[in-house]
Amino acid sequence: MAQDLKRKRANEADARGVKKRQLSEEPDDEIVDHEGDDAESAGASGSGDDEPMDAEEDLGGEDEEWGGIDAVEEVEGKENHRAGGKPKKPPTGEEVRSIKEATELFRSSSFKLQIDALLPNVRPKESRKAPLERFLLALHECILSTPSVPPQHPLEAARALLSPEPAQTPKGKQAKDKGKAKAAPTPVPIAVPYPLPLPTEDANWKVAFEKPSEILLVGSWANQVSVKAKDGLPWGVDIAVEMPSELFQEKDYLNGRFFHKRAFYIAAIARHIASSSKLNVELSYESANGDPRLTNLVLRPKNDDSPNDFTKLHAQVRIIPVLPSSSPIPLSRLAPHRSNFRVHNADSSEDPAHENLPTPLYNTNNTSVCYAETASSSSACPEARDPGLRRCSGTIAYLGEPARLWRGKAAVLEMLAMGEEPADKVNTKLSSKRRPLGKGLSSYQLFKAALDFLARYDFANERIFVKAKDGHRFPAQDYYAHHDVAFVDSPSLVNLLAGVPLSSLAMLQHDAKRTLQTLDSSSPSVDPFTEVFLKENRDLFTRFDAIMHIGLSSATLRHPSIHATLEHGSPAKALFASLDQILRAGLGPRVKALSLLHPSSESRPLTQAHPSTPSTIYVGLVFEPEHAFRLVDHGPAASETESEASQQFRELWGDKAELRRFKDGRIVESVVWDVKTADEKAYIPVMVVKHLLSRHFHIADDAVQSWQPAFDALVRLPESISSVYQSARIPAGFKSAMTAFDDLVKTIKSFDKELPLAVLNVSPISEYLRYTSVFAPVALLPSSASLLPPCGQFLPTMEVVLEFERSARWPDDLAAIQKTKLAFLERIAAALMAAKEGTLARVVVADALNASPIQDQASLEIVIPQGWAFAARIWHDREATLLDRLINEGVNVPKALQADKPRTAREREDALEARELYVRRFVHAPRHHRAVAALCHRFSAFAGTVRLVKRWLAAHWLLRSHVAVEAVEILCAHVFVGGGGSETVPGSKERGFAAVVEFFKDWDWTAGIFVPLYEEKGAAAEAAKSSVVVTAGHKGVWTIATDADKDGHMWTANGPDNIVALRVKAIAKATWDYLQQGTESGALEVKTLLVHPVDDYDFVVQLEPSVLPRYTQNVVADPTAWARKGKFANLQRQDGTPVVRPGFDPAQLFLDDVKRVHADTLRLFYDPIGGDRFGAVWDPSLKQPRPFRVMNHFSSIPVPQESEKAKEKEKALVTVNESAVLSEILRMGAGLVKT
Amino acid sequence: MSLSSLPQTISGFTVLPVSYSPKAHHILYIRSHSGPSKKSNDKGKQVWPEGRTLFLVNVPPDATDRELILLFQPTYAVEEEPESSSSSVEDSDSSGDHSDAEHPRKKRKLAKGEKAPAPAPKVTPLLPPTSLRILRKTGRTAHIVFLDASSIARALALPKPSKGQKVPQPRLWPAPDAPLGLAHYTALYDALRPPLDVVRQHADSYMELYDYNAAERKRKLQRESKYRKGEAIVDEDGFTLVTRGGAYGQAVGGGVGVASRKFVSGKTEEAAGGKRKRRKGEKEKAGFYAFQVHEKKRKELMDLKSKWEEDKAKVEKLKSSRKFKPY
Repeated sequence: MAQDLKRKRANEADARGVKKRQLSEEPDDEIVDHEGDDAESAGASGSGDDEPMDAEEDLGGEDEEWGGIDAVEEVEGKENHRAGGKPKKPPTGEEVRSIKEATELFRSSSFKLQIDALLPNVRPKESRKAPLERFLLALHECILSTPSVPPQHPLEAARALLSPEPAQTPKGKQAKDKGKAKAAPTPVPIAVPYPLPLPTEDANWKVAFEKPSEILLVGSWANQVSVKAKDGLPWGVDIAVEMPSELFQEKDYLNGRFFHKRAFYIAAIARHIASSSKLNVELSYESANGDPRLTNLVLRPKNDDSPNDFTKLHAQVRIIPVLPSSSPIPLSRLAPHRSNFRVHNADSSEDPAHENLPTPLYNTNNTSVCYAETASSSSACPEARDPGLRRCSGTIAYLGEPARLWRGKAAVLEMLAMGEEPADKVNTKLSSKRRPLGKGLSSYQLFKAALDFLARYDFANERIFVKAKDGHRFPAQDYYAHHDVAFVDSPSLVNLLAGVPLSSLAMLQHDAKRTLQTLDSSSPSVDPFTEVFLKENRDLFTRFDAIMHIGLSSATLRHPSIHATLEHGSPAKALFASLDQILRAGLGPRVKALSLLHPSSESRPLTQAHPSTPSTIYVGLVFEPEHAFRLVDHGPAASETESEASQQFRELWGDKAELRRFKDGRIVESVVWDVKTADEKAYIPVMVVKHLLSRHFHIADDAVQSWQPAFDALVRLPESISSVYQSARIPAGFKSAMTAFDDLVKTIKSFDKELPLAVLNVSPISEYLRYTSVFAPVALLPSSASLLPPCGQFLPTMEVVLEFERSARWPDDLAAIQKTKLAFLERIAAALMAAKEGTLARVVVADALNASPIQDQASLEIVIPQGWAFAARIWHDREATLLDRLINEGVNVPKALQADKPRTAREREDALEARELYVRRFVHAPRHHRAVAALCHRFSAFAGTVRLVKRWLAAHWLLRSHVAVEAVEILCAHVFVGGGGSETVPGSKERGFAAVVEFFKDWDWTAGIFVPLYEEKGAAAEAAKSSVVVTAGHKGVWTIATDADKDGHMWTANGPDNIVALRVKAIAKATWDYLQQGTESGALEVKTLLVHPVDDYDFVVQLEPSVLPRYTQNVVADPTAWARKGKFANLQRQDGTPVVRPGFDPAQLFLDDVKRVHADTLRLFYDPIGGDRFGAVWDPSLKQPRPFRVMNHFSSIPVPQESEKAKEKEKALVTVNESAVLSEILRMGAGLVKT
Repeated sequence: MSLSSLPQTISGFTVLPVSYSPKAHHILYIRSHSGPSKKSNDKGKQVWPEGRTLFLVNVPPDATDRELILLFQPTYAVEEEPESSSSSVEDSDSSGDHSDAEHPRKKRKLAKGEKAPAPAPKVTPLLPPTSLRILRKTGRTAHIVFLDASSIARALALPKPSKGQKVPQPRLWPAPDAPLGLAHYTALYDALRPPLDVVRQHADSYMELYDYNAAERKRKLQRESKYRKGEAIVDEDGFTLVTRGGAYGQAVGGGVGVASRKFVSGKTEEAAGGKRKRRKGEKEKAGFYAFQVHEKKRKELMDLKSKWEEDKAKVEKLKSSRKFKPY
């Protein structure tokens, strides 16, 4: 019942909408405010006479089980309550209805409110429209008063317009006309934008000008669906000027003659407007999509405070000449299969087939000129039919905006012209196969339906015809045969997608899918509204997995064709079309979407006839991770060697194509990409593009710039060091590290006899064993260590956790447990050394000062014969219980039952700390390790992303000391599994990195996030939604919750604090801005992203690079630090056989000490990965003099007192002794600090 | 800051500038140690001999005992060496991120063992006594015990300007006796990797001591307790105390571990209460009376509205923060 009524109501609303529409259309320039109107007409329609009925039905609808009668009762009941003097009134029926509508028809009520709040901001301001209306009237008048130009030869006419002199008119009458019109100043020279093929001298037809038969306001402005453009572009107001039909002849469809006439027509209007004093405007040409055939005139106001100065509205008026419906050009000549070019040159005349190639694009352009009027009238009717639509199409157009993007600065996708048009028509008028959508849908529902259409529609293979009343004009087969894509609207004139490259459509589809997934995502950490409508989605680095910057200056087609040039309108357009086609064919399933981005065709001065062509373009790829990195492209089978398919294949790939026999016996044409390492696999798509570009467009490799290698270099050792590793055959890399680990596990597990307890589990907890360390792990043998310079001898240790079978024989005392561990480790060490020759195992104990005796402190350092180093620790689960007992003791237990001696607060603190360490090291770390390792397998780009992000944070002196590596891993995982849906998952590490930087830039950490890092998804996410409670301690402000860690402070308990978190944000913002700028200008230096500014630090200490074992990992490592000093290249290093010290990093130890010693004085920042400098900031409060205390915790110096008297009375003041602290640091770092 | 402007005393402390290098001066504050403070009544704290102890504030973090001794030695006659390293530099920091070094603890444990009549096994030290310095937190305090009381006065008079000079000359810090910087870290790294046999001996001897102590404690308990293992614990009124573990679980009688885990964690009462309440709630029928239905519905509507208002307010807030101006 409720449904029926709802529909009925919607119908009423429709009727009202129609009425209003008609009213508003009659006075064309009086525009009624519709903003709130829609909301109200939908929501508050019942506020009039039909209130009781509405209320009733609504309540009935809410609660079905009670039926109609009770609903009435309910209303009465409500009245009673109200009478009963309750403090709060229940909502009225009306309110309930609008609330219900908001919640049920939209994603959520807040979503609707947000849309409502957004829309006024993207619509033109009513108050500023009036001058525009006045201007339009004046313009109308002005155009109508344009003097007619009698027919003349096209070139002559053009010359006349170009000359600054008054036109030398061949005919007296025209001279008079011109003379009359030109009381105005000397006219500006104007070039007539004749498109190719240019008219020749022997043209036997004439161009002329007559005043337009009609002038109409068309397009989105007239339909009130226009939305604000990006990048501060002005609003567009489109005016269709109907050229009188007598100017045209039947044969005008041939060889672009129609367009020539149109070009002259527009030039004539331009001439008149420029010379008329009434309109104070700037005139320029603009070609839609850079197609010179579709050149229009653009008028921008000059700021002069006259009544029709609409500068404030920030709009521009575009004059588009159109053909009247009664034009003499027969439409049948413009069907897709018709050929309308007669190319007369030597080549083509020999080949008659070539001459008659169909010219679908040309034809479409031709027809589209006739289209404007009908389009506007037809799009008006669906508007009227559904009041929700206008809002919706506003929304869509708005969303289309991110897609249509690149407009101003960066580049433009060609599809953008169609952003609005097809999109909003799809909703209501439908393709023959698609059923119409129901009426009365909310704008959100329509919006989603449109997205759904875009996301699912198979552009390449389907042709869409909007249902028309009287069938379509041209048969569908024509479209299938001659258009790549087709979307024909109901007047059946134009293929709206003609000339739109398939790749752009794929990109649009990709974006639509992404948006849909965002809208559908249930993840609590994603706000779909912000994500969809507010976030900038067109940044190159987060949008594409690979970006290439291509210089087109040397680009030439392999098979240049005049026909293609004419068909596409200009050589540049033809080049783009064939680029698109070839890249698409070459990349095939490797990419989900591919897009060519070039600067949009900007408006140009009237003296420039043709749009300028871009000299560079960007190619953006979105990888399909399954196929993107495969090594072989298979072609057709060999059996059909001479078939067309194999020829095409060879044509496409050139000499790369070869016949190969595969293991399964097939012999097929194929292309094999050779890569040296697994890392280089990521380059393959770019290699493909480069190869195709050089083969088909003669674009040299150095004209193609991609940033992948530069990013890769950030996580690689410098060449001079890595070559040593290679030549000495030292094992390196994640794979061999893991193999070594597996071997070690096997060996340890085989020690049944040597150990009193069997080893149950060996779990790795090191980033080196889960692909996420910045540098791949390396092994180091004492024998080969001498080959490496002292500043490149860092041997990372990989931490593992040993778990023994349970036993009751462990001592029940924490300190004793630690000693027992020592005994165990000693046994293992002995067994290991006995089992394998060359293994070195040592027990490492903790520095006495830093570890309390109850804390896990001993580890076993194992260096296996291949040179890999491990550090093993023992997990004993009884420790947790004992620690808990220590901590909770005395809380709930009655005094009588307590242990004999009461614990001091100090012991409790120790226990707390020990337990934190225990939980982190033995409970969370192995689990985290498994989850991250699994993610690395699931997403090929994940590991690379983490490595880049770590490198970036480290280079900015934040990693490890302020941001734990595990926290970084979880945050990176957020980009991959955080609920954006599969389409947002980065396919390359560069995109992943950019996404993480963007996340850091926008992250409001006070809210905390939830990352479904561990497999169980849905239920866990729901549960966690409520449990992300932000408890910002002063030490760590980030809350990163996972399923295993509901509080979200496991890895962020020790930082970053508020200051550092703000710093992360600031650095992310700077990095992001640089990425943006760099890609736009094409001069991105990747290393610059990691250059850390040091101006903010109070002092920066330079370390001596040659003694730092990790220095070679420095971002800007200076090779002279490890250059051989001696005379002879083959001389061994003097320092004798170097001792390999696994994991020894004196800089790290030193800085940890400084940090600890001066914890209350300084805040330290340094790069743990090969940094050779560190910076520090004084605690600002210490600079103020403060009273002397015994326990000041900083090195102080008395402040001199002003007078002797004061000294006696007041507390003596001290302040921080900066020079003493500095000298202390120098002392502690003797030999490390460069003096 | 020039030294001339330094006051000579501050809050009862004598200011003693110390120089490491010509440029930088570290400031030590010294005073003779006076009486036990309230805190030092705690057991475990050492009592410093009154009159012979010098109290130092703001000890350089990298100072070793030997360096401290040397600092006060040259101008004066024999002084008693201050107590062993870690105890002389008193750990007065209550924040607790540093524990005492291992040695004193073990010593204390040893001491405990020594009280027993039977000789306790000795623990082999894990780390050889090295001369490595221990870097402590900055701004700490220390006590130095002199041989006789007169030395104190002379020590306190140190900063007084000598004849002919107006400004007190800073004392030169003695030459370092332990490696610093890179050498320190290298030595420390190697020291933390003791030979395996030492580790083994240490672990074994420690466990021996542990067992010995455990046995000792047990014996002591048994001596003191009037209850014997395996015997029921009966109080004056004749009630038998039931203990967990029975005859074999606990060493002696006396309810050490009687409380169940639930009891300890304090959840028992809550859980029980919750259960009781739920049972009560189940009995009440939700939609039995018409007014209940009305109330429920009304509440739903009210909730709906309030949520709506909330959302509205939220969006208003966002609006005011100009969030809706995307570009």
